[in-house]
Amino acid sequence: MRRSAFWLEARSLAAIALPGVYAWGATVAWPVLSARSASLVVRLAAGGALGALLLGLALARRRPALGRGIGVLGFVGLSVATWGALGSSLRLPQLDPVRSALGALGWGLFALGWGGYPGRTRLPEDDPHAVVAARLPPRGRLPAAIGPAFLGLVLAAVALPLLAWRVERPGVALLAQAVALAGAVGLLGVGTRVLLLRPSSERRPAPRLGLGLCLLWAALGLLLWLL
Amino acid sequence: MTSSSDVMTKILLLIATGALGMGLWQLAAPAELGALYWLVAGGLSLKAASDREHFLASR
Repeated sequence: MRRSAFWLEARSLAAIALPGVYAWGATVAWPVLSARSASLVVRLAAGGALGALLLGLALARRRPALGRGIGVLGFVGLSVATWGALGSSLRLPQLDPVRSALGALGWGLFALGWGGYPGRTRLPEDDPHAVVAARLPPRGRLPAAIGPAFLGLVLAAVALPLLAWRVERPGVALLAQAVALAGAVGLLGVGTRVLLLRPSSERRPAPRLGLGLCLLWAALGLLLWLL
Repeated sequence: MTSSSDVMTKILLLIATGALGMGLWQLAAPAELGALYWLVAGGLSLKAASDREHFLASR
């Protein structure tokens, strides 16, 4: 393995291990150590979660699918099992909000680390089929308006979860968070495709059902508003 | 690469954004029926925009 590839791989593994261990410490190990009556099962599950993370990282280089399976599913599954077994020890008044928020950030970075793991560790030049030549010129340019439009799209996607925080009623608040998250993901997905549309050879029928339902729903709203 | 989605697709996307925002705003009001109406409208608009984008891309 070339030296640069080794460092790329080490950096990618560190990008998973560091936030993973931090998230485990802040959100799994800390509640277990704080709970005076934590059973052996809880301690075993918490230790097993860390073990799964480290085992997954150790296996990821030679067997990426197995390593990812153990490192993600095993780690997350045993962490969830720990939280479930902790039961009433995880009540909100007993949690430190700053540590919890930083732990959530660690979980997010852990997910991002796994998302980019195999891709960043391989150098394109190492591929025997790679054409090593001068940089190819782009075949087209994006219109200038795409930048501001994309920024607006991202702001709208961020605004939806922020709006959901206004909902304070217990049951509805959870629904609002779920709807806001799904809406933000949907907006980003569809909006990005709408803004960066490129022709493809795939043939699809003309869309009528979605637009028809949309118009029908708007007519129904107008009718109810008039009545 | 240039953007070839039409004005209608972008309007549908704008409607979806506004409707989802309106739905979440009304959910805090609380106005459940109004919120439900806007959330469904947002979902339908998003689906219509997605379908239309796929159709335009395939032409």
